[in-house]
Amino acid sequence: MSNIAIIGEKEIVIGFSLIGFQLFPVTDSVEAKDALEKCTTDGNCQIIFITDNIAQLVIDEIEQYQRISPISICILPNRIQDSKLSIEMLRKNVEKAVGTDILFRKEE
Amino acid sequence: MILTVNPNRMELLKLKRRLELAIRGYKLLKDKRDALIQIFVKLVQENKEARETFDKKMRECMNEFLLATLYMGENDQNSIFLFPQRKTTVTAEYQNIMSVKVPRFRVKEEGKLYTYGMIKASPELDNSLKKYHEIVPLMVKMAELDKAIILLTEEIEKTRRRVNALEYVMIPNLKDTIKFITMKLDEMARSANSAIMRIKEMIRGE
Repeated sequence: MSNIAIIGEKEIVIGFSLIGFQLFPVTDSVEAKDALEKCTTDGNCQIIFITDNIAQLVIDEIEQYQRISPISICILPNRIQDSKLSIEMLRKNVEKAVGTDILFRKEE
Repeated sequence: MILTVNPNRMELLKLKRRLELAIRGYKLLKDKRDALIQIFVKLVQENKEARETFDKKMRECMNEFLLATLYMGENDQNSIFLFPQRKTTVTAEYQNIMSVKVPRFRVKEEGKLYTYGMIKASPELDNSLKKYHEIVPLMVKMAELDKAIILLTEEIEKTRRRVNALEYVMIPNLKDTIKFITMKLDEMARSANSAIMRIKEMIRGE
């Protein structure tokens, strides 16, 4: 079994099966939660990729797992518009660590 | 705040040693925090730039793949995608950044990529698969950077709490207690002294 998992809409993630990733096609938050839990408790998995649309449904779980498990969870961009979620998470982390938002303050 | 200790010389010595240790620890941790933040800021900028290019490329790949598979039926899709021969795995090596273990992934690929027949698949599918294949190292790199940011954030938070606890609680408390014990000891010495003087006076009076 591959130790890279990808969670997302079937039509996007199915291509990665030929690349050799472990696929978790999901449609709603319940399925996504199950898939996340399966990956994180599996013990073999190293990286989880999750598409933006699905990540938005289970953002709390992702944040929790990122903190407690050694697995790297990475959010893939939305295929239509700019993904705000990954940048938002980065901004949150920066605020937590440095105390102020040093990345985007100038732009606003 | 004064700690609850017995005001004697033994305690005073112990507290002085603890204060010395606390100050040394405080200085070291402060240096660690500053160094961590320096590395963190660099990493964040790297992450942001990498993320922008990655998002753009990934979006192109996804759209191309969607277009390539648009006219395929469910059965065709299943026959092409359900039995992959390729296996991609990563092995993690850990790099030590200021005692934070940050993973570095190495990608390993085995098996054939194009396993489907020519009749059912379109040339666009070949192209989009090639693009997916080419973006894998970037994806792994992105995962690596994301994890590093999260690990460093936690370490900085922890270190900052420790520095603050030492600076605003531990060290002032120890200083207060040391002051309290010295004053108490001095007071005891003075009272003993005056008692002796009074006794001396009484003896001389007789």
